[in-house]
Amino acid sequence: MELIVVDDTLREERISRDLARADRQILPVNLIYPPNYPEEPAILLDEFIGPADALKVLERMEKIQNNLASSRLAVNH
Amino acid sequence: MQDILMPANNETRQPSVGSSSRVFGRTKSTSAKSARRTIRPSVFAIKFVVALLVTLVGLPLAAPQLSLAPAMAQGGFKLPMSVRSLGIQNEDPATWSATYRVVPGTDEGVLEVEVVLSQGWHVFSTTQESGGPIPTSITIAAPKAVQLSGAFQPDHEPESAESDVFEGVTIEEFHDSVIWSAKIVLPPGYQGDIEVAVDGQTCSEAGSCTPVQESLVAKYTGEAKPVQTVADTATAKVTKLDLAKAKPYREPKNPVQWKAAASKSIAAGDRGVLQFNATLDPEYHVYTAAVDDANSSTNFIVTNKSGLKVGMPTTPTKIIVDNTLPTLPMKYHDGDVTWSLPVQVPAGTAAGEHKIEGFIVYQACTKSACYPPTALKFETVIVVGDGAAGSTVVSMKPAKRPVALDAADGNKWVDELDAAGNAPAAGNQSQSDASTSQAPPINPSTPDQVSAAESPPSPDSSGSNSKADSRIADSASAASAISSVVVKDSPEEIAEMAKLYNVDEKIRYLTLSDMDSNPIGSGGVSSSDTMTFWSALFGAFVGGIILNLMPCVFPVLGLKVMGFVKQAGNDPAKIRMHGIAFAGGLLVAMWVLAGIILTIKISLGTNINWGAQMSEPYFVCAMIVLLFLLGLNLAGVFEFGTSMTRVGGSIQGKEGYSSSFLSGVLTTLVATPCSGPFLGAAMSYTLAQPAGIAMILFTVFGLGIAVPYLLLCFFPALINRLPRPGAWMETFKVTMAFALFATVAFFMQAFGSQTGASGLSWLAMALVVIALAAYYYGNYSAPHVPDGKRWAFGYIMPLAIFSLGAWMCYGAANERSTAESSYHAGGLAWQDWNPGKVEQTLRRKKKTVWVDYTADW
Repeated sequence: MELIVVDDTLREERISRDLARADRQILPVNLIYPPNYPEEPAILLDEFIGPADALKVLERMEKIQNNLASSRLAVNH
Repeated sequence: MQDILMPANNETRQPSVGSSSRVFGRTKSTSAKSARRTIRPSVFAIKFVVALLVTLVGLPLAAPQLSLAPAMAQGGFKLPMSVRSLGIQNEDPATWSATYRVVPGTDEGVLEVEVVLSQGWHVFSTTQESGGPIPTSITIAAPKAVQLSGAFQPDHEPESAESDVFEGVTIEEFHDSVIWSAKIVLPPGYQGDIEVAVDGQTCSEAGSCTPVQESLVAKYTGEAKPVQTVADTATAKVTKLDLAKAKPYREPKNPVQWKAAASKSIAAGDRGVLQFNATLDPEYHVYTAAVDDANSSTNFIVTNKSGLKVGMPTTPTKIIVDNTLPTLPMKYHDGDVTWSLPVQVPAGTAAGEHKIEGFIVYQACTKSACYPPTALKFETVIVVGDGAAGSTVVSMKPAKRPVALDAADGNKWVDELDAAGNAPAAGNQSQSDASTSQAPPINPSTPDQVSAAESPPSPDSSGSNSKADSRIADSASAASAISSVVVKDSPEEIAEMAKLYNVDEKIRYLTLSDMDSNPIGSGGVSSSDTMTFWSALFGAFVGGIILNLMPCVFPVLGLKVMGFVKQAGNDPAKIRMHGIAFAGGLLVAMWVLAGIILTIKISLGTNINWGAQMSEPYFVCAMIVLLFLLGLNLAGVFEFGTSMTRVGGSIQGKEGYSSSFLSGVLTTLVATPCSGPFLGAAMSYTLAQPAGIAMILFTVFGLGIAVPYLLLCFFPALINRLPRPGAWMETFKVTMAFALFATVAFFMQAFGSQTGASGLSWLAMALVVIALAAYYYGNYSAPHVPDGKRWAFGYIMPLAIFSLGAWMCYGAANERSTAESSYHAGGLAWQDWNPGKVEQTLRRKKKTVWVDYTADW
């Protein structure tokens, strides 16, 4: 998994523009993109998240990745 | 997940894909335990419970920057599913195979045993010292006429690291793949099968191990060159060139000096070598040429081969493994490292000059910092001719990393060379050429010989482009694995990303609540339409109420509560008026702020956001000074004079409504940086609405903050339930002073992020000066002080000192930080964001991408 941090301490216009792409205006925002985005949508986490929420999203991402791998295996064979 | 928590238990092994030489299935026993890293369930459970408690208790009090990610980074909470576990685990982590060759006319041969491991798995060396994990043992089981005449040698050095489980034991392990070869003696003319027994254990990085009890059939595959094992061959090729005479190349101010040379002449059908040597300044290291999609690497991207075949880079240099981050072990070389890329000239290649061109992408790091990823372009000309010994020049010059990465994208820059160093036979060749995606991943430890046995599909194999992409140096991951390093892109890369990717397109996303109703493959997406006016109204109101408990607001409101205590028993109408004044101040400030934001949004079309004032150091500085003065006031350093407007929640209890009004104003101003976590969706909805509707929502938000106090004011009986005024109030007053100082510290953190250490230290000095001014004012402004003295020391001198403090504040706010956000400390592999970065990462890495938008305020 790749981790990208968007540091908006100094409130940059380009970051505000990017947040607006996900209909968000204020922080914090966590977006998790699946490996096959945009085929599968990203997941926008709530402002408050607990371990269970994070696990739920990560499990979904794992399933997507497994599905992708399976389909590649099928193609290769 | 089970892999991480406990060793695998008696799972029946599935037949592996492509393991043509396997003869037996086998079972896994419960006895195996991780050799190097184990995660004890009890420890994990304790960490999990503690982290859960911390999360539950801490989140409501947290500022925006306290989201889940840093907790993960600091190890307080470890997901039972590691980041790496998002990669796909093969059911069978190791694929074993064996072959042998015979030196013509002799009774000598070479037996080779190869294991190809799934990502995240490793085996141990045959020379693994006792007292640690089980070493790999390879023996000939049958026929008895075939005997080993030498020890098994690996084709590359194992990765060595001190064990954190077995005290004093150095662990030697192989990742990705390894070929062991040993000399054998066999009956003349024997070309039958040889049964080979392999024992040992295979372990995953997550901690589970399985025993290895393989029985392999080694087939005869042809003739061998006289008594050369894989290791012999590699060594012989490496020593051919004289790198010492090569002209050094070094990027300005870069700690890596490069030298390169290539075989001057190679006969058709024969093989030469292309060598690169990196000499590192002390303390620095470069990453291995192992390219997997989790770790950094040094990439050799050969873009033009002129019909020749260039094999995988190998090095005999020891690999150092840094397990500071168990989920992201770093593998690197320090000192002096030489990589060799075999160059195969296919039989029938026309004589003459053949140009070879390419790039190297590398990154030099110390244990605490990294240079930006760097690229160089190399070029050489190899003569296909008589194969005369000698070296030829390899020129090197600076290159732009995006250009190198683009060249790697979709470009087959490494060839498969068979065990004898030849390109695959025609049939295989076409297959290999036909699909770049079939090329095996680059492996630092992969020899220049690759078994003809089919390799298990890479977890990352995803088509030709992505395969090439997966070879791109994942320097970001590597560098950022070093604690508190966030990898930044170069200006060229930033420009490239913005140019290549659509950074204005709406993001397709689902919210957590929508996730269950939109299973994978359904293609569903959320939109801002899911938030209605009424749900936003409700969210704003409830968010406002909860906001009262946030660290920004709580101390100010503590003062207000004290005011209520003093009003106990007063005229109910007067109490109500105080409440209304407070709510009025709060709402007026809210309307002013919202009006400014909406006006700017509408008139300029810019994306100015709620809380934008907190990004302005001057505003933050002013807030700090105001709160600091209030704290000094409560601490008894000074009292506001009767002729001055009473600011905030002065605790005299006889103040006018203006005090309540100003308390409301102050509450709104300090509340904005804390409102994000409660109002993310509602505020986003609000700011997207027409001005009228937005103002209604802002009003409701303000009412949400004010409602607890309005209730107290309109139901005075509630106030009477508060403790009666008394001596305790003095203690409470001073306690609230400290609470205000804590709020000052909270805002100073934000100020420090904006202005850096210099700005912060100037502000600290300014506060000392302001405190001095407050002291003089408090001591000499009282009515009993003689007029002259009062004016000199009670007004003029404090004013002068305060002016000095204000000037220092102004200077502090003018400073700008160049440091990284403190948020990023903790060791996870964070990369810096730029427009297009997410799209580029998705395209190149084909992996899950977690993007955390945060701020230090």
